[in-house]
Amino acid sequence: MARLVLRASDCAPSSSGRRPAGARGYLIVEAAMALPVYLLFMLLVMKLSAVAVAQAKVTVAVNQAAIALSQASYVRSAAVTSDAADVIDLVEDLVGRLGSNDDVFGLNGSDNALALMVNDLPEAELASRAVAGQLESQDALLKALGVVEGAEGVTFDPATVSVVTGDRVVLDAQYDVRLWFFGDHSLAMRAHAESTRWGTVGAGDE
Amino acid sequence: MAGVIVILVSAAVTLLGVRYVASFAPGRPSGGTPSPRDLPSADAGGAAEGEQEDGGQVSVKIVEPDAAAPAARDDVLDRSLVVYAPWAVLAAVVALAVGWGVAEVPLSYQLRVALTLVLLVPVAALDVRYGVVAAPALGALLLVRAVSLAIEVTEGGPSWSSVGQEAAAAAMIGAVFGLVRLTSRAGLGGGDVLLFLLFPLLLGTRLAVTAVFVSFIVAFAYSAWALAAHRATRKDAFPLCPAVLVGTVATVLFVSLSGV
Repeated sequence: MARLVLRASDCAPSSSGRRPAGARGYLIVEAAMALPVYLLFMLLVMKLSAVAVAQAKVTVAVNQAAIALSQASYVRSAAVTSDAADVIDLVEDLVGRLGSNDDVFGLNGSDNALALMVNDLPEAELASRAVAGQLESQDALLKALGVVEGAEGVTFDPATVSVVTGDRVVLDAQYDVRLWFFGDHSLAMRAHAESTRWGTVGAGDE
Repeated sequence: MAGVIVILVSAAVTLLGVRYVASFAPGRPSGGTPSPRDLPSADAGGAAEGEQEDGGQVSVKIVEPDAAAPAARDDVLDRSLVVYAPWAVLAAVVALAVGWGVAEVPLSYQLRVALTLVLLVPVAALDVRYGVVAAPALGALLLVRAVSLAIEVTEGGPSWSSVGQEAAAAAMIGAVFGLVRLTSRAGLGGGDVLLFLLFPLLLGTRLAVTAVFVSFIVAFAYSAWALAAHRATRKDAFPLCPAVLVGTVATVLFVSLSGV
């Protein structure tokens, strides 16, 4: 490697009288000892900030999804479901006769909580799609922050998710944040949200 | 095909680099006292061991930690950087080109990373010899980025968002090291700051930050060894670019050999 001390010959012109133009390149020994620690500290602060921002974004999305699902879960109650199903069938039949497609209300591909409730989906998929709908515009940001697979990387364990069963909507989201500059490791993160399902409060009083 | 182009262009640039360094024939150690402004201002407060006040005029005493065989050591180092390093780095580029070819990495990216590695060799050699980060070499690095951008246009258009990210990372690195330079009272050369400024544009944000960090780890290891072996004091300066060369080549090989 380089010799340590810059000497007089370093600053003198070469025998041909020329030396390259440019700014000086050197590092003081004590700066060399301190800079890696300083840089490591800065990288840690930046990474921690990114993790904190990602956690805030996902937590807000999971909370909003829980609230939206708790409100929309009302349509899954027996009385509403049968009435709504009749209305939907009638309207779809009418529009079908007019030559349009079967998915009149655009329910099949939508991540809207109400549309998800109408479709008979597993609870983990309901939660996952509701949160994906909330994070749709944040996908690029989440990827930049190191969230593995961005918005699609936020998943739910079917064993712990409760959306249409019980009197509470319980969402436990899991996702991984990649630790840049620290090898190919990632940090497992969780976000939790709960909300009382609409229509369940006071149900026992009836 | 892309790999062949990368290897041929890298070989040509390596030859040009060797010729460029050779155009500055090494001067003999004069033993004279250089102008203070030519030397790194290790400590503007006058704490550097090599600086002495002399009737209001600052004279610089050149520190020579190993006076017994300095010339021999310098010759070995100079020879390593001028004769062996260019071809060692070219061999690394060939290995990388093979890995990149398997992973079908775009030609523009291959070219800019390969040429960055190749161009760092003359930068390191001239830094060791003259204590200067050669401005023409920095200009050549900028030209490499411009050519890479032109190739990206033919590859279907450059990703302007990633170019913006690289520019933002360059600005951040400039601000960080500018602050380091200010707070450490010029403990880091201005030429090195300019070189680091170009890294995100050439290597991409992630690889650049990793390469800069690894370069400082290499410099740290060398400084620790030099201090432990009593070859230097805390106030001495050494050329950083060889550490940047080692750190960058090691980082690119480690991170990018798999084609990433």
